[in-house]
Amino acid sequence: MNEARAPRNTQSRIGKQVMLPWSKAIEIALKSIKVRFWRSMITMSSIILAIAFLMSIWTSTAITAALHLGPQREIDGIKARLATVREALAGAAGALDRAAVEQRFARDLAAARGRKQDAIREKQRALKSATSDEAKKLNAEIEALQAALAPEKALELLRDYLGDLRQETEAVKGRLDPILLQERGAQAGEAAEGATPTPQAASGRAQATAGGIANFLRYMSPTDKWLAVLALLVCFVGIVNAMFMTVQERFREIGTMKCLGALDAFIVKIFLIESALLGFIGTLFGIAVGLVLSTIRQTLVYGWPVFEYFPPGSILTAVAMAAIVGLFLSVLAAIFPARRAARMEPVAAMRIEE
Amino acid sequence: MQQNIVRTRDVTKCYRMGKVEVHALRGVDLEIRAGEYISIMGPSGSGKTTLFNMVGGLDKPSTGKVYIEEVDVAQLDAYELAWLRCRKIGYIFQTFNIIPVMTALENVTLPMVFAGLTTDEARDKGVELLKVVGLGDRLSHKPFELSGGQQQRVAIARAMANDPSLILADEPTGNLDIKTGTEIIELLKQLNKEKSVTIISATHDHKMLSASDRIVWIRDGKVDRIEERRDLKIEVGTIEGED
Repeated sequence: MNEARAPRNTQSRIGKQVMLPWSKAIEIALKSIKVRFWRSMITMSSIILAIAFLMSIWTSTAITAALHLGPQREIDGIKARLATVREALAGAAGALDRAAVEQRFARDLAAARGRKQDAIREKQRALKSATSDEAKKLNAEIEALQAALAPEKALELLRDYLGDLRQETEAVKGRLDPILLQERGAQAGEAAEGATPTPQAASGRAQATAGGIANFLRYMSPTDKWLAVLALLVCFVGIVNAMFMTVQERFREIGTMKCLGALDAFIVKIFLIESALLGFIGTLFGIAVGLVLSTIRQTLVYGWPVFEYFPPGSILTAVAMAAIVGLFLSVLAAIFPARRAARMEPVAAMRIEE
Repeated sequence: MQQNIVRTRDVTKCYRMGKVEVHALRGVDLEIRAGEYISIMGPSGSGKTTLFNMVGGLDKPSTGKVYIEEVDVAQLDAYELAWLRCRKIGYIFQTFNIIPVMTALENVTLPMVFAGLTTDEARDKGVELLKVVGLGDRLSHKPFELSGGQQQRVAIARAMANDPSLILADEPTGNLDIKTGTEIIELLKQLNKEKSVTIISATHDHKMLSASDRIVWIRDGKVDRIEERRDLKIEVGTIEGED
């Protein structure tokens, strides 16, 4: 009778333990990372390596894609302008109204004038250190250029500009890596090389290429993909292993915490936060290392155009993706060890073996 | 009427080790009154540790009941058990188990943080407790900067953090030399008297016996005999022989 009644009467005196705020878990996790600095470094190194590898694959893919698509986009852009100007000139035939032309091709005219003015400035600089013979020649050239700038010469200026654009296209093409050009040729070759594209078609393709740069993952080779997956897998196993070892080493600490009133969820939190913090820092390092090394390598292979066509959009996308992958991986890898730690009986604290 | 802080009713515990069943406890009835200082003694393999864990809410019996403050431990869920461990029971370990990443003060305040005290409240109380155990000048020392005796003092302060009604001490002097061990026992006895906290310890230490109000002898998973301290003095010779 007494026994049956007692628990019910007094059960209410036992409260429920409340969950501690995240801040406390973060504090404890941070401390334990700091104290086990070198062990934490080893755990972190596995994620640094994996993310650096992933990042370097992505960076080199993005740079290669940019080197490939960037000049092509420039060519497309120039061709689009060429087409507009040519079409307009042809359509207007002989009966050209200067005001109408100036209005319609204001942008091209401004660009053409800019070029002439640049040329004039350059020659004026050359003039300062020129002998009298050369000076005479230079002065004549400057006069010719200034004459070309006269408003009534707008049409000639435009034609000149057309010629410049054509030359520029050839120059950019020359910079394209021959292999890349070949690949590209298979995809869009005819359109780019064929008959004069209409402005609409050209701008449409320019947009498609821009999308292509952001979506640089398409340019990863199957080997690259396979290697990246392998690296992440190895990293995952590495973190799981390291975290299991940490749990094993800390069984007494965990048991003690539970004796002091820590809830399972709190222990899980501590381990997840610890792994996430290590993962976050490791990912940052990994991204930096992968980005720098891969850019250097690409520069050694392709030279300075790497920086000329450096794709900040793709690289930012890659950085964001690598950060997400790194953080996700390190938290995921800690789930099983953390759960094992949380399930540890408080009696573990009593065990005497070291 | 004096209340029982811990009461066991016909407690048995059966472990399965592979195919063999090990009966660690075979029906233990025990009543421990509030404010008592109790030592559980027995050879290794006697079920002493199992009983100790049972009494401390760290283990659940196979059959029978364990009541802590008249609450059936088996009926508590994880949150209630954690609450019980946090506020009602203080644990002291043979290996001290100071959390190595924390200072002495942080170790003492940890249970209070678990109990939901604010940082300031916990700090003030932690400082006071460390003064009580004689470590007022070592608040921010890390465990590795403290001697074994000092670590055990930190552990005692930590066990007292939430003013528990029961302290479980598992071989508290087992890793200490005789002098330090005596000091620790005196400290426990002092807390037992001044704060009237019940102390249950599993021990081999004879110094501990003389501080105890009662000694529970365990043999083959059963209570062999319970001795009051006043009987003990006569039987000192027997105890020496027993060990």
